[in-house]
Amino acid sequence: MNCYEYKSHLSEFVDGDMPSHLRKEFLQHKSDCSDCEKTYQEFKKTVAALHGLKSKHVSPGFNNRLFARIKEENQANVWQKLQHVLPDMQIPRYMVAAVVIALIAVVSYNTIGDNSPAANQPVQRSVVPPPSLNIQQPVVADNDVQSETNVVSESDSRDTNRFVPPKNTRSYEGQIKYVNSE
Amino acid sequence: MNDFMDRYTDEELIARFQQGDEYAFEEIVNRFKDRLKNFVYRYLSSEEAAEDVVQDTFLRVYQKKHMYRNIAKFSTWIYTIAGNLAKTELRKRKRRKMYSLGDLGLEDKEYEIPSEDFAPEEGVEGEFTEQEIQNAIDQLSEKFKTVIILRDIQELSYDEVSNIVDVPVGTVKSRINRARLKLQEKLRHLRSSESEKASKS
Repeated sequence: MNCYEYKSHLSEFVDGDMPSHLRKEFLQHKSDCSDCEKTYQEFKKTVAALHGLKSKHVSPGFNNRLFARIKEENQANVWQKLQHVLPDMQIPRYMVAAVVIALIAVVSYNTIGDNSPAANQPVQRSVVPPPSLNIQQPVVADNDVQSETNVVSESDSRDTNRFVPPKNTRSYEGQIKYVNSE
Repeated sequence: MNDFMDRYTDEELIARFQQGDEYAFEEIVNRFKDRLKNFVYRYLSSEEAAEDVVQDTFLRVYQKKHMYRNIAKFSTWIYTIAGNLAKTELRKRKRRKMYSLGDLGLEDKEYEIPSEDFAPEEGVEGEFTEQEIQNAIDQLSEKFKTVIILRDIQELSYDEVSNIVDVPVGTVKSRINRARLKLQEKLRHLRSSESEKASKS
């Protein structure tokens, strides 16, 4: 074993990890080479000095500062998300314009519908049953309760009065129970 | 109501936190804050900077808790985060305090950042002071500094060090040996230059 190889195995020897087949050679070189013996002594002191360094501790109030910071970051994230949804003042104007157009369309449809030939036919009025008899109310089973945002599709998100079946979900047929309300 | 939290392993705590248990996060903070402070302090030589980095580490854990997967130990994950943040901070500080390499005459293109926190002390004969050791650590390259802090100061196993720095165990052992030899050389150099100054005065 030469000096270079000896130095490459110093940690193994100091840490007690040296394989037995190397140990004899290593100890032989250590006793034969005074420079390497000195290197070993210094090496041992260096490692001991590292192990002897005092541990550092966080300052008082560390936890309080951390949790205050987390709270601040959470509030900042909520505000960032809102700003992402409404980046500038133009979007509300577009929303207002869209609602106005939708209202005009609804009013126009009703007006046109009143003037159509079918609308001029005499209306056959059916007997409206009293409210207490045979009124069927759809009841959605508990495990199919979904939020309003899930029910309304993305394209109709601005018109919350209109029910649109959700896309890519199970049909509600068979899920809805019709009961008599009394 | 978190007295019973100490019965959980680190991995169980992070799993509970991922499920929404904030007390588990508090226990994680209590377990790791001093260890991480010690690790980062040895890296940056600054108490204030070390605490900021440790706070950033816990903030990351809080915000990115869902990114931990129980494949590696939790300590590996948190040490990796802290180590990366410490390296980033060190690089920022080096850019702010740039020294000419030629003036320093150092090998391996290492930058020297003087320690901020303690006054010079006289060393006990034959032993090194904390300041001498810290100054010598500061002069090591990033890869040597990291392994020597994790192994010899944080006392992590070779396997853990290997997972944190993401190199094979054999490479870690070799690197630690070279780092210790380098540190020994720097300490000898520091001691001899101090002896010269003392003899001149």
